[in-house]
Amino acid sequence: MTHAGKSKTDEVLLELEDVHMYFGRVAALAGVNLRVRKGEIHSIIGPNGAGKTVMMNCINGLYRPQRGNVFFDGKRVNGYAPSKRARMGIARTFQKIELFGGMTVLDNIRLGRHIHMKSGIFSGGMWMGRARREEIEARNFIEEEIIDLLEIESIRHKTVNMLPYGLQKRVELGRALALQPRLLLLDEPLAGLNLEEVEDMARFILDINEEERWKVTCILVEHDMGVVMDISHSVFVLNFGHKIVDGPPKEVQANPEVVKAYLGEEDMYTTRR
Amino acid sequence: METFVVAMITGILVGGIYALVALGWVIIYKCSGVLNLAMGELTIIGAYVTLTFYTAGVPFIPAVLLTLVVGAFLGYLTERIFLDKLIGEPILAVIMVTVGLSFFLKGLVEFIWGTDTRVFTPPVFSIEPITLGFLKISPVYLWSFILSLVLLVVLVSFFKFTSWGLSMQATADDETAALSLGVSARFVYAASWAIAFMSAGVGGALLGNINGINISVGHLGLLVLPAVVLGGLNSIPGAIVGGITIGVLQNLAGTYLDVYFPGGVKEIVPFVFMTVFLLFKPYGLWGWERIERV
Amino acid sequence: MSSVWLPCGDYHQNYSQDQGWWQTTLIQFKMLTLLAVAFIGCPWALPQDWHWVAWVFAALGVVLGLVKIIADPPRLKGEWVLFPFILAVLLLYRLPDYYLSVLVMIGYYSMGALGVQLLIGYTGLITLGHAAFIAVGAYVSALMVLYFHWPRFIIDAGLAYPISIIVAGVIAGFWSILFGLPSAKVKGFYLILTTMAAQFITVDFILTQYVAQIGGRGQAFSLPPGTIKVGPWVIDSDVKVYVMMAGILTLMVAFVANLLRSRVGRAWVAIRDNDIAAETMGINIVTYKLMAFFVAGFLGGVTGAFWLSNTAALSPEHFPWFLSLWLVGIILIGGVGSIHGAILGSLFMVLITESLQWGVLPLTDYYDEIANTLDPGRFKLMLDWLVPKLLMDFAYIKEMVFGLAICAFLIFEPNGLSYRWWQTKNYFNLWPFSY
Ligand SMILES: Nc1ncnc2c1ncn2[C@@H]1O[C@H](COP(=O)(O)OP(=O)(O)OP(=O)(O)O)[C@@H](O)[C@H]1O
Ligand SMILES: [Mg+2]
Repeated sequence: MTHAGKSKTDEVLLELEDVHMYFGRVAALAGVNLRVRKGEIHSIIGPNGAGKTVMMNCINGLYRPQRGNVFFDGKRVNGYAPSKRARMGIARTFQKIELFGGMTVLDNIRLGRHIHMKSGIFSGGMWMGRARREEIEARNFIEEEIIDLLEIESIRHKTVNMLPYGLQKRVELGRALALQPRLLLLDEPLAGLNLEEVEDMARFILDINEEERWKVTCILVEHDMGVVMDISHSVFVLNFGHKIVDGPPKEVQANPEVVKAYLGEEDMYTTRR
Repeated sequence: METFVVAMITGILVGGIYALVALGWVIIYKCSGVLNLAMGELTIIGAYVTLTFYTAGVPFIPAVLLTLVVGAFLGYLTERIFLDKLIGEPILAVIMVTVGLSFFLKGLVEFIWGTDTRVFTPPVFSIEPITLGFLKISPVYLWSFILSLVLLVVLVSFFKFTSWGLSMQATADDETAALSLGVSARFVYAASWAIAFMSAGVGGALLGNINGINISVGHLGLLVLPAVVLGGLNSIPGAIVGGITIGVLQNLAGTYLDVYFPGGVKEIVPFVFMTVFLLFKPYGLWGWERIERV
Repeated sequence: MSSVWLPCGDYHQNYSQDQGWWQTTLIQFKMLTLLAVAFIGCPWALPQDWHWVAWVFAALGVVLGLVKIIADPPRLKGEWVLFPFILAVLLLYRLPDYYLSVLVMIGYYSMGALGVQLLIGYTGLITLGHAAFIAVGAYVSALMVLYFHWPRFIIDAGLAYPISIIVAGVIAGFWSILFGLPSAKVKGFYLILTTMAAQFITVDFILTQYVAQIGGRGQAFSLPPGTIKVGPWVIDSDVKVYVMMAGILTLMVAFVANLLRSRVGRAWVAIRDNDIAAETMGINIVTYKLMAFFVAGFLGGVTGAFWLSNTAALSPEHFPWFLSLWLVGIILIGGVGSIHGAILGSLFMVLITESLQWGVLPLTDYYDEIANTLDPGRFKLMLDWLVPKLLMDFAYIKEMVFGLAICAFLIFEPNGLSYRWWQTKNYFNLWPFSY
C-alpha cells in the first residue's frame, strides 16, 4: 500500500495560508491551508467543482488569490507571475491538455527546457557557439532523460495534435519534467486513460517521485481513488472550497465524513474523464 | 472661454456624425462578430453616391434617401460575396477580408471618381453662420448634427422596438435560439451590413458637406475605431458616446494643441488617445477583466 | 529541421547532425544552386573575352562526370557532377535590368513581409502598422547619411551607409517596442488598433509634419548621387541595388530561420499557440512579445534603410498605410507562419501587378489602332474614356486587384501558397510512392 516515510522529509516546500479565491460572488476557495513537504506525493481530492484546479492555479500563479499567502521554499510568492514561479521550480500539467498542438513532441519538450537555456536574439539569430551548444545539450537531455523515461521514442517527431489522448498526456508530463522542477503539479493525469495507460502513468509518477535522479515533490489532483490511496503520502480532501481533512491515506479513508461523501460511491470515479 | 465653448459645440456636432458611422460599425460587430476595417471606404462611397445624385439634379434630402437605398443594396451584396463564407474563421482572416474589401472599394472609388476634392455645388447649406448669443455656428454643422441625430434615433428605435431589430439582436446573443424563433442568421448578417452601409453612407455625405469630398473622408471614417474602443465594441449607446467624445477631443486638440504641434494634430489625437487609453483601461470604459480558465 | 526526408538507410550519428542546416547532399546542392542563381546567375555575366572561364567549368563538369562513371568514388555524389555545368550557364548569362528591378521590388517586399511574418505568423501579434518601422529606418538612415558629420576615413571607406543601416534597424526596433507596449495588456483587435495608431502617429504625423521638413526642402529628401556608398561601390545601378537586396535578404532569412529554431523563436511560437501554457513553462510573455516587436522593428528598419539605395528621393508617401496592409496581404497570400510564405507572397503579388501592366499596355496600343474603325456611339464613348484611364489610373487597379486577391485567398486558399509549395515538394520527395 502506502510507502510513507520512504522518500519524504519534514521540510516544507509549499505552503498555502488561508487562501481565498472569489469569482464574482462565488467563493472557489474559502480559506484553504495546505503544507506540502519535500519529497512527498500530496494528493488533492474532492467532487467536481470543489476548487481543486483553482488551487493548482493559485499555486502556480495563473490565479491571484484575493486573500491569503502562498509560500514556496520559504518565500512568499504571491505577486510572482507564473513564469517566475516556473523558474523557481514549479511545473505543471493541465486537466484539459494544453500542449502546443502544431509542434512536434520534441519541440514541445524542448520548450520545457526554456528556463535552462540562455541564448538570446543575437546568439540565436547567428546560431553562434552558445545557441548551438545549448540546443545540442538540450537535445541530449531530452533524449536521455525524458524520452527514455516516458518511453516515447517512436513518436518524438510526430505532431502533437495527431497523437491519441493518452500519449498527449504523457507528452505533457514530459514537457513539465523537462523543467527539472522541484514541485510538480499534476491536474488529473489519469483522467481519460485506459487501464494500461493508467498503470503506466502511475508508474511514471512514482518513478519521478522516488528515483534519485528526479526526487520531485508532486501535488496530484485525481479522481481515481485506487491510485490516489496507493501512491500518495498525504491526501487533502476539498469540498466547495473548504478543507475536510488532510492526512495520510489511511486516516482519510477512515474519516467518517469522507466516507459518507465520497468513498461510498467509488464507481463515480472510475470512468470519469 | 468663448473659443472653448465653440470648440466643444463644434466637437459635439461633428461627433454626432462620427456616432452615426460608429453605430454602423457596432451593428456589424454585434450582429455578425466581424471587426470591420472597411468602414472608411463605406463612408466615402456614401459621400460620392450622394454627390453623384446631387450633381445630377436631385435635391439633397432625396439624394440622401437614395443613398440609403443604394447603401443597403451594396451592403447586402458585400456581405453575400465577401463575408458569407468566413463565418467562424479566426479573427485575422475576417479582419483581413475587410481589409481586402477596403482596398478593393478604395481602388474602385479612385478609379471611378478620381482623387480631386469635389464639393457639393451649389452648396447645400448656406455659408452664413447662425448666431446664438455669442456663438457663431455654420449651418452645415448644425444641420448635419440634426440629420444624424434623426437617423440615430431611427436606428436605435429600430433595434429597441421593432421585432426585426429585436430578432437581429437575438441572433447576436444566441444563434441557435434565434434559429428556433425563425430568424435566419445569414439574413441577419446581410441585414447588418446593409444597415451599416446606410449609416456610414449618410455619415459620409454629411462629412463631405463640411470639407468637400476626397479620399481623406475615408480617413475620417476610420475615426470610428477609437470611438468604438472607447465605448466598448458591442454597445450601441457606447458608440454614440464614443463618437461624440472623439469629435469633442478632436476639436479641442485642434483649437489648443495646434499651436504647439502645427500640422495634423486633429487627425492624430484620437489615435494617440486610444493607445494611451488601452494601456490603462485595456477592457474599455465599461469592460471588466475576465480570468481565462484552464 | 527534423521534417527532412532522409534517403532510406541513412541515419544520423549524433544530434548535431540532426539539427544541421543541410542534412543531405541534395539539400546542400539545392541551397548552393539557389545562392548561385541569386548572386551569380541573375546579376553577372562574363564579358566576351572571359567566356573561357565558363568553358573551364564545363570541362571540369565533364571530367567529374567521367570520374563518376568510371571510378564512382562514394564521396562524389551525382549532384556535384551537375554543379559545374550549372555554374557555367550562370556565368554566361544574366537578367536584363528591367527584371532585376522587378526582383528588387520582390526582395524589398519580402524583407518587409519577413518582419510582419515574425509578428503575425510566429508570435500571433497582428500588426497593421509595419510600414511605420520601415519608414523610421529609412529616415534614420537618410538623416545619418545626409546630416551626420562622419569622420573623413569612414566616408572614404564607404562605411557611412552600412553603419546607418544597422543604427536604423536598432532605432526602428526600439520605436517598435514603444508601440508594442500595449500588447502586454491587450490582445487581438485592440492590439491591431494600437499598431494602426503607430502608423498614423509615425508616418502621417511625426515624419510628414516634422522630420520631412528638416533641411527645409519641402516634402522629399533628395539623395544626391554618390551618397549611397557601400565600401568602394557607389550604389547607382540596378545591378548593384539588386546585389544589395540579395545580400540583405539572404542574411535576414538566415537570421530569422536561425532564431526560429533556437530558444527565442520557440518561445514565440509557444506564445502564439498557447500563451497560458507558455507562461507556465517559464516564458515571460511580455518580454518575449516585446522582443518580437524589437526584432520585427529591426528587420523593418533595415528594410527601410535598404530602400534608400533604390530611390532618388525619400518621402513619407513611400510608406503609406497601404504598404502596411500590403505586407500583411503578402503573408496571407504566401502563407502565415512560414518564411517561404513571405517570399512567395511577394513574388506572387509583384508578378501579378507587373503582368497586369504588361497586359494593359498592349491593350491601349491596340485600342489606339482600332479606335477609328469602331462605330461612333455610346459604347465607343465609354471605351474612349475607359481604355486610356486603365493606363493612367493603373495604381488604383493595382489596389483593386490586390484587395480581391486577398479576399480570394482567404476564402479559397486559406493556407496560402507556401502550403501548396510544401505539398508539391513532398510529392516530389516521396515520388513515386506518394502516401
Ligand atoms: N476563471 C474562472 N472564472 C469563473 N469561475 C471559475 C473560474 N475558474 C473556476 N471557476 C469556478 O470555481 C469553481 C471550482 O472550479 P474548479 O475548476 O477548481 O473545480 P475542480 O475541483 O477542478 O473540478 P473538476 O473535478 O471538475 O476538475 C467552479 O465553480 C468554477 O465554476
Ligand atoms: Mg479541475
